[in-house]
Amino acid sequence: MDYWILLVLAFLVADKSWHLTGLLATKLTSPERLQQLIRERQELHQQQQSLSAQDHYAKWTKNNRRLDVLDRDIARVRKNYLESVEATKARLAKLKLLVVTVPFTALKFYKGKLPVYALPKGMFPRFIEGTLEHGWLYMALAPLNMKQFSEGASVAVSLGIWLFALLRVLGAIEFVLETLREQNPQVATETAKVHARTAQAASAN
Amino acid sequence: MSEVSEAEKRRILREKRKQKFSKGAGSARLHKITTQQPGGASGDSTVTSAEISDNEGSLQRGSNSGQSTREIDDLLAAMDPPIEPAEPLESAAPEVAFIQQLMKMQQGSATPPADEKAGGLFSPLLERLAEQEAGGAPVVSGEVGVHQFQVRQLKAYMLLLRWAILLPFIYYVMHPGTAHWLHTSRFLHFVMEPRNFFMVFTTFEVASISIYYQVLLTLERTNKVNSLSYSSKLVTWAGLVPDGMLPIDNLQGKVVVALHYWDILSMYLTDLSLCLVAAGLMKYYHAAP
Repeated sequence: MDYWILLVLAFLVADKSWHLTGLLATKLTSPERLQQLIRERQELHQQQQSLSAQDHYAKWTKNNRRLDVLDRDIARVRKNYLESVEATKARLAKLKLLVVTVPFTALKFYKGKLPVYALPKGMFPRFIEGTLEHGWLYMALAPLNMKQFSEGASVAVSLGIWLFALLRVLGAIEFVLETLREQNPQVATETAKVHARTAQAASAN
Repeated sequence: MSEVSEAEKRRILREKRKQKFSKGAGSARLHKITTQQPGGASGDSTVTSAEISDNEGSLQRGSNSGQSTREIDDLLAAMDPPIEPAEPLESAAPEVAFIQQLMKMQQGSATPPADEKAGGLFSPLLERLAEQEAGGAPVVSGEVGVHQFQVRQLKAYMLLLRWAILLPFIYYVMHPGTAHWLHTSRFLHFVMEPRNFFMVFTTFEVASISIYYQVLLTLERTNKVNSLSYSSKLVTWAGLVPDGMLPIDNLQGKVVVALHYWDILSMYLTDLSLCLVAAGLMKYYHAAP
């Protein structure tokens, strides 16, 4: 196989798996401080629930103020955490543009007419065969009859057209997988209601 | 200075208090006290300990950090007190802001009748746009959500079915020598001939897409939902153009028809792409020693 095609495939894999770097972004900015504050709030909240506002007014009010402070701290830490994650993601997006998107697009233009494989002549109508061989430009120039067919028993499929077809097929596969994994909204709502009822019953006990 | 009677003073104080309550003062404090009373009915903004421990447990367990980020967001969203925005549509998309401005201008120029909604002419569109913006996705409320789910399922299963038929077909079309069983029938021999590939493929596509389209129409009739009206922004935008502004009647209907055609063409193109890719792979496969 031609090295250019291998390079294109490598770019394709990098492009499709780039979303995994988002996980890296969240790993790099650990939410430990946020978890600690949430744990603290949970303990205080449990303590507050066991207190009677009338019998232990002073303690209840003190806890209340601490809860307020904790809420503010959590909001601030959460904002910082989300900002840092967003910043990392933005840097990764720029990196993707430089490392994958731009070279990949340039390669598609530069090697767009490179023949990837050949199909028997006569399998498709002339118009489609011309497009397979010469790319999208053939379609635009078809009325002028400027592009000529190659002689022989086969028609080459150019890299640009092959990539277009491959990306379309990959997109369709992604759509099918997503749809088959999707849960019926009606069932999802019923499940959520059951979960909410269970949680309510647990908290009441 | 004039002397104010005791009754007059009480009346003024009562009015001041009423004004204060009507502006919502003190409600946050009251809400906080009532929701944090032990054993009292908890409001939406209060996070129960079960919820927190559940969320925290999953944070600690979290297999991937993307998930944990989402969980933290959910947790904090639940923890935050509900903020009632003064104008919920203020932060929506530019088109919503634009219509809102138009609405204000409309309200300024002519006072609408009492029974008409504040949005007047634009209110249904505004509501739909606001709903779309709030979810960041097409409208998926109740029956519409279920219908869209069914449409997606239908599309996915039809695609799988078509591909299940097309792949063996391409395998035999790309076979260098004709398989022996093809000689038993002239029809099969004709179908598997590479020269007849495009004709057979297009006939199959027309038949299968027609079946899909009929099932889709039946589904739309049963659920009484037009799939494209709810899933396409283009249709929503076409609906924003007032009648008579463009020399095209029923612009929204025409956009819906065009999108239906595009949907069909897109399915055809996807299958053609599959044939191209599969034909290439089969060529390498059959050529391999």
